Amino acid sequence: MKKSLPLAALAAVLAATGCGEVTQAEPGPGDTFNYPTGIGVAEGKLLVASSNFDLRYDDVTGGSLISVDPEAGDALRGSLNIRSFAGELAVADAAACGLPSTLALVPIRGSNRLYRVPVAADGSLSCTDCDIGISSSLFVDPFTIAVACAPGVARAYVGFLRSSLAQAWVTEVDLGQDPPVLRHRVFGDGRARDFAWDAVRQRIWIVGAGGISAPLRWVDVSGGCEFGPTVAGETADPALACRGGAASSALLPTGLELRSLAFANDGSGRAYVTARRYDPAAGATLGVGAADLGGVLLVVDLVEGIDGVVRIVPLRSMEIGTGAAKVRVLPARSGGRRDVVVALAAGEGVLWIYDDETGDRVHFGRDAITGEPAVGHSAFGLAVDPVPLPGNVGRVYVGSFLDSFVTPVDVPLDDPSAASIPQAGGGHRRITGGTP
Amino acid sequence: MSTARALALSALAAAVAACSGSQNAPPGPALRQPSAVALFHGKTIDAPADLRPYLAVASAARSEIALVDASDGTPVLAPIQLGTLVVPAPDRPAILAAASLGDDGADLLVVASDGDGRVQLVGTWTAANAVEDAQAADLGFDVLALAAVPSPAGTARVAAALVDGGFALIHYAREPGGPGISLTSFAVQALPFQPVSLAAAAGDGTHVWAATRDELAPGVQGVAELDLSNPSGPWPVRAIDARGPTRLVAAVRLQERTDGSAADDDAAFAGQPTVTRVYAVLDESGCGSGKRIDCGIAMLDPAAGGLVPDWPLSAPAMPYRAPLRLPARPLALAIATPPQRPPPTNPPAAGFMRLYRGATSLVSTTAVGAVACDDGSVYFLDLGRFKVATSSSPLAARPGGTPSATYSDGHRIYVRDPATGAFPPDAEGSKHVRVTPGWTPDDSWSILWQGTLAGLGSRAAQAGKTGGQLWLALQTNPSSEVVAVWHPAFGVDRDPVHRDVAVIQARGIAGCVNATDLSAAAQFETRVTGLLPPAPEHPGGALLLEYSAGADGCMDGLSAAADAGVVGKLTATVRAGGLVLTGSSVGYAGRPQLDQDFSLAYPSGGEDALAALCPLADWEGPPAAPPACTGSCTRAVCEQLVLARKVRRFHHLAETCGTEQACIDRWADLPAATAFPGVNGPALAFRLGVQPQVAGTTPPSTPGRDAFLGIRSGNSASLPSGVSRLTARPSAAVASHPNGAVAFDRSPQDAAAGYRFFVSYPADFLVDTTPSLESVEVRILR
Repeated sequence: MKKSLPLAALAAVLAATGCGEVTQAEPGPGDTFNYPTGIGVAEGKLLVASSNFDLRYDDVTGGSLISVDPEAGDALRGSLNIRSFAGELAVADAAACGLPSTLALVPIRGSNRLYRVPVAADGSLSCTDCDIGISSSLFVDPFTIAVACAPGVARAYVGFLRSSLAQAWVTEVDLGQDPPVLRHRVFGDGRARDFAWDAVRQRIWIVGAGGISAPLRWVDVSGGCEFGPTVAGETADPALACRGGAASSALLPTGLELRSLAFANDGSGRAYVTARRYDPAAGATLGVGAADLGGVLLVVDLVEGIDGVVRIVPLRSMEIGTGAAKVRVLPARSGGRRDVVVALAAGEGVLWIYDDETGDRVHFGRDAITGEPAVGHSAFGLAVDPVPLPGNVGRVYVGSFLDSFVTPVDVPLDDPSAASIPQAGGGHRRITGGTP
Repeated sequence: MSTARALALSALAAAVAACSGSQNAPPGPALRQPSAVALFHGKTIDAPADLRPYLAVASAARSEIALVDASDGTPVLAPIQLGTLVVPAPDRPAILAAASLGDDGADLLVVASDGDGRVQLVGTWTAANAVEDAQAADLGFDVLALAAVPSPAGTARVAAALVDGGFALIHYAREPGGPGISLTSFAVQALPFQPVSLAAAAGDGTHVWAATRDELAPGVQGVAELDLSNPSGPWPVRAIDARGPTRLVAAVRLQERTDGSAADDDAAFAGQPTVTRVYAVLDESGCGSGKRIDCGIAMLDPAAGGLVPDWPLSAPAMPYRAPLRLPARPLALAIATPPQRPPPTNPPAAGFMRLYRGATSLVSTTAVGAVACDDGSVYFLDLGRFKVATSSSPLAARPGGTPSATYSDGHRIYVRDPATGAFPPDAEGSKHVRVTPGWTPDDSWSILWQGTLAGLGSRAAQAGKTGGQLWLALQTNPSSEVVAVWHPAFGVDRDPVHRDVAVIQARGIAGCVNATDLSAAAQFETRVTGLLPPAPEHPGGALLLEYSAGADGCMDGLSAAADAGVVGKLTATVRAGGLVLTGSSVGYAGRPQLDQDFSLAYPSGGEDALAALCPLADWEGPPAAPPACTGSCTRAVCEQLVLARKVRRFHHLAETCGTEQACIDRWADLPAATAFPGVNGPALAFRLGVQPQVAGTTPPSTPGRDAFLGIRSGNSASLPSGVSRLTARPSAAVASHPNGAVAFDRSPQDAAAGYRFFVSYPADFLVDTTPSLESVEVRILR
């Protein structure tokens, strides 16, 4: 038998030939997505944060934030190199948040930074010292992010992947100050997987913190209270601290790990939740990471009971498949109709569109013949344009981490069952970057 | 290794295997995320010429239906027998239904997928077993549930619950002269409510029952009955009041035992008529100890249009028969009726089925239910005796009741012998705590002197003044964390002797500091003198506080601050003035008084009379305004209602002590007027006193704050009810979230196997179980 060519030698050969055209010192591409993790929409432009997950490009400049105009042939509107290992992306709208300009917010794990990138009306991006450190000795790897804006309130909330005691730390970023003031608060076991902002009650909701027993936590940030101390781990002044609580999940079946939360447009307390099913008994033995038994999209009401505790009252449960991920609500519809909701089952690569008015739902799953998911492999990142397109069409974007593209999905708000993926080149339209 | 050598080794291995007679295990059904299961008689490639019973199991993750031979649990293999035969079903099949056409042909089998409005026909009459695309009924709305409806010979009907409040009836018929089945028609009707589950009863082709969470008529929640007399509709709807919303339903025709009978055999059913019963799982959002009915499986009588009356009929205690209560949340429900062939050993009388209660105790009954719950277990129901099947008699042991208390400062709270007033030795304390089988629930009880009222510890609070009176509201502000203290469920201000106490923590009140830690909140307390009804500044009501100027600096400061407006950022705890009984599950359970008999018991007049007097008990809290409570609506009446709802009957006994003296002695303290099995009695009854540690010394008239008496059994933290439910629990590591159940009579193929239940689990397996054998058999098919 011939001796195999050692892998190191093979790598050397490849590096010396055509494969060596990209080196790790080069910045990431400014016009194409590369392992996208964060998606957002600002000023009608699609913002995509790429992670440079495989470190094909330079660690410090290998990531990117790219702005494209999907309604103008995916024209490139802005590009910025950022550090590798971007997390999610949130948009702080200038008008809604009372800020001088709209901000794209991208946490970076590994280097523990938070980018606050101004986005101009034309989608162009700018950055002057726009990243800040965001970690402590107690927690690292910022990843999850959401924005909470209301009159007098302009804040971002950041969740972390790791902490020294496996606790769910959340950092509040006051966007109205420069440099922003950071305040920190811990919510028990777990990690913050998602946030949702209840603007009516001025409560920020945290999903996943508090472990299995209290999977939905909230903090009332009204009235000028303090989210937490500015130094993580210090004791908050109880006289100034924002009040918080946990929703009772007693009415939910056991064995549901909540993953994402979105509130209805009408401010009624109606909410939509994705959850992963697991076996509670096996989970107790093996940890929360017990097998994924499939995901559900729950329609719930969050209502205070006579004891003043918020209860999660389930109204409907729908199967969505394994890998339950983000859920988001499309813009409000006319005539007092209830919401149109999108939910992602990343494990099976299925995007669900649910009409809470009729109860109907449609989905984009895998091709019956090829098995290819319509929204790409490792679906990751879900964003909704807050402004409907002409014709009252809601626009949803779904990222594919492994395929490095974003799939636009059009959802007619008057007939969500007619949702479609725009076609291009004989197949589904896929946005892989911006056209310079 | 060269190919030739590998082939040679492979051949050798095969030869060795053949010589030794060993065989590879046949492949299992290879399920992936099973989502539903149905049973049909049809043809497959296994037996292309014969009609045999098969299970159809929907595998959502693979968008296919696997077929399993129901007679032995083996999968139907593909033509190349390396894998199982599957029927492709597009887009995550989620719901299955099967129905006999009442002739000699194959059964109907239909499937609906997640988020799909089409009900598709699966070919059961040929071994091709394909989904017949041309025979799909496109109902226009997503399908939520399906149920087969008994139909004339040669036809079949399937009822469908649709989103957006729709109901459809789909008609199928045997093809003329052929074995095939074809869709003949369907009709859809809009309903004023959202059906979520459907059921029909064998032998009744004119009714379908629908579970719904919606109100069916003003004040009526339960199950809707649709009259299908007109084949094409419209189908009139009648509301059957279950006193709460429902989410799962099943139906059967059966005999129920006679009043007063505790016979284990068919004698219990002598002369009883066959009746239709609808079993509905109550939705947890509208049932429980604070609602009009407990959670569980309600038993409905469609003929009477409501819940079945309480049993015993000769001495009912409740206005309705208690729901079948389970320790977990039901997710799937199936009912088996007596099998065609009796088992060869210990056969029951003709027309009955056997149900084992432990390895040696056997009963005969008329229908058995299997309830798959979110804890992964399957619980069995003896529907003929309208009870949860148990693995032992609840009378076999007295369910604890052992009081436990330690001495503090030379005294403790302890039970007295109600006859003599003396304190019994600790070993005999349990004799003086009365419990009643079927009424005393699983709970852990605590009795504390000036204990914190359940739910009212360390709550955010605001204080203010109305008409010069100082009040305390448990709320962050009028729209957040509002505790409805006006609601009688909290039992505030219900001690006729001792005023409740409000313990307040506050900062920044002039003249009020924490003497030991200036940076900490000051703590002070005062008595509660009454309640204020809800008002805009305190929408849950408020506690009126006792205040005497100059008596307490903190109260003076609070009063002064309240003069200027509502004082916020307080923390408050409400403590009882005297003794308070609390159950870890039921919460507030009343106010025992020292040296007086206390009985926590369901009222002899039932709860409805009290509910009519106290609409306040059904108040959902703010922002809704509370119902008026004046005149006959008194706090005392409301307290009775609140407590009555916490100690309802939860289990119907089907046993007596017979002549067993030990059992008779064990329960000798039950009232003479009551008898097993139809026993009525208190959930908990006792008399308490303050016992000195040293006999002959005089204890204080009242114990110290938080003096504690626990009532429990042995080392257990709870007081067990004595009801040991018969359970099948799969041994698989991941066994939860069952999602489908179907009953099957295997006796034609194997009389000893009896009736079976198949339950699907999303962790890629199916359970085959039965309680008809000496020990509950659980087989896993994966």
